[in-house]
Amino acid sequence: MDCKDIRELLYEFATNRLGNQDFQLVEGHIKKCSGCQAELNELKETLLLLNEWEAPVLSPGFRVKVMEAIEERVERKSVPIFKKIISKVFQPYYLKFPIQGLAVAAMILLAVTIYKNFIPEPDRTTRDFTISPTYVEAKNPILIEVKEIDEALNKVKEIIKTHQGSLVRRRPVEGGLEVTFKIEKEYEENILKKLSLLGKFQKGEAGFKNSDGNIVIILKKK
Amino acid sequence: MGPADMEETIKLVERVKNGNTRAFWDLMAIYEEMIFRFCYRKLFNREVAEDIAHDTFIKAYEKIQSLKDNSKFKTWLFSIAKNNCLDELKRIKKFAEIPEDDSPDSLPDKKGSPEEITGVEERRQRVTREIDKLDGIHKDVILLVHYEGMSYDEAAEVLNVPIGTVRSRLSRGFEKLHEALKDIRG
Repeated sequence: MDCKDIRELLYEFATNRLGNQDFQLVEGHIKKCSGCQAELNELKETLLLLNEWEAPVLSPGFRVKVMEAIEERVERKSVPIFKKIISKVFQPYYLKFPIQGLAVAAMILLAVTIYKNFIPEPDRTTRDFTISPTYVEAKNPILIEVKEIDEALNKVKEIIKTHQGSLVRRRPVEGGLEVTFKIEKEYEENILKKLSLLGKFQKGEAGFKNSDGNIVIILKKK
Repeated sequence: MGPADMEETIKLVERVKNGNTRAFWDLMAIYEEMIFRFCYRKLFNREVAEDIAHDTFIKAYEKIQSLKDNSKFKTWLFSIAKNNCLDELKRIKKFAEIPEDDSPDSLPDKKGSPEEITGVEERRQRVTREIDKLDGIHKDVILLVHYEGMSYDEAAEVLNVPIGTVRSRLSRGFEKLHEALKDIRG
């Protein structure tokens, strides 16, 4: 071993890290070599200086903080996937609530738009017909002879609707279609006039209303 | 850290791998001070060193399944700490932060005569400043071997270099320090 090799072992020699054999080797060399001896002395002096640099100690709560962070991560990992999604959807509140509010409003708007454009408007002139125990049919319905019953029915519905009335019942009867509708008294005269324009119109003085006060007509094909 | 600690470490690491979080508490009890000291001496700032040590243990916990040899936990942990410190130093350099109070750069530059530098505190400041001036490769090996008492084998594992390189870097590092501190050496 030359001086270069010995000097690489000086730190281990000075700090008692060398095995017995190497220790004796270095020790023997130093006794004979003043250069390495001086190097060793310098190293010892430097080590004394280095040992004056003490690091501070850790804050008392350090380990607790780390473990809390770890446990939090463990809990987060053990949360079922749907809960993770839910928590992502609902946090942070200051962002998610306005976004969710807008989303709900947009969905409502979309639903209304679809409903208005694609769902046919219900027949507001019809309604469920229920027969009360005291119900009595009209004895003498108005008879209207028309070319086409379906076409005439549409016109009747239109007339009822424009007079704010409502279709109560329609049912096939012998030779035609019976239509029962409800109308305010004030529009009665007017609506009868319009119905009379649909075709040959036969109306008695009375008996064209049932016991509920609804007008009954029969559309009959010519 | 003796053989008993090593045996204990191996058992504790196995328990952590099997999902025992409490065992990690015991592992930290063994290693937290040395990791913190290492980070402090790399970064010269107590609070930042604690943050980096904190992140080191979190990362170690999360990645512990990737540690194949439980007996390498210590060097593996120090590798994580070293890399975290390097990232932090890069970040500090990138944003050119003002030196913190503990930083040797912020200490008064007193490279005067031995008569001027007599107090323990002043000598300590000089020592820290001169260590900080060392290249990273020389500084790391001195921190690991001298301050943390690692064997050359362990330091070689942390730094991912051959043992011979550890020995030569240590020798060269001390040579530089002899020279830099010659005016205050006894």
